[in-house]
Amino acid sequence: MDKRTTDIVAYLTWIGFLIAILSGDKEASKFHLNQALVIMLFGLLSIIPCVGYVWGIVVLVFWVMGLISAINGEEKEVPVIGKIKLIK
Amino acid sequence: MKKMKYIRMDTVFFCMGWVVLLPSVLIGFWFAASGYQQIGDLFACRFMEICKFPCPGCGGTRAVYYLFSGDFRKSFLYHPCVIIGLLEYLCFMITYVFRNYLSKKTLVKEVRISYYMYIFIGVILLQWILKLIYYFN
Repeated sequence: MDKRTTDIVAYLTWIGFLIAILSGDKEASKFHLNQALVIMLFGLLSIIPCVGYVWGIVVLVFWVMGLISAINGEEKEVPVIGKIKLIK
Repeated sequence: MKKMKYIRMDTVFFCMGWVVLLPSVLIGFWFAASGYQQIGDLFACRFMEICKFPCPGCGGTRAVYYLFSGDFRKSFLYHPCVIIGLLEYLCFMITYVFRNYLSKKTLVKEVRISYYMYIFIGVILLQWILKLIYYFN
């Protein structure tokens, strides 16, 4: 997979992320792999009732922002959680 | 390689705004019409039950209920994010329409979603801190 495809596939649920990290261009699309992982990990918090519903909406907006920047081929950080680096 | 068309972030959110408008209005009025007791208990906060103090989302369901019942003051006091979120939504939609369809400028500036998100998260945290101060006093 080329860089852009890896970027986009990384955002498509955990399965997409696994496909991207296993068979994608890991070095070139490190930024979006990291961002997708961070967004999906924070997305797990939305299973908590009450506070999770509010957080779920926020994470959904971040996810759409990340996905669009991946489609456009840009490396734009999402607000608040975009600074976290898990994949070095 | 074929060059892909640039997708504007605000355009995507504008389309999403139209998609969620009708379902959320219908669900909101149905919720207000059927009464809080019937549905409200489904959204009872488990965090509050376990930790014995309110979470950042506590009061949200009652705020939505009072918003659609027409009691904006109570809605704001229960959870300001509901009214502020609604105002942000309206502000975004109006700004987008103004910049893209009404403004005479040829170069259209993108509406920044991140500013709206910072305000939204800031209000959630601020009202939570105020609620905690009020709760523990």
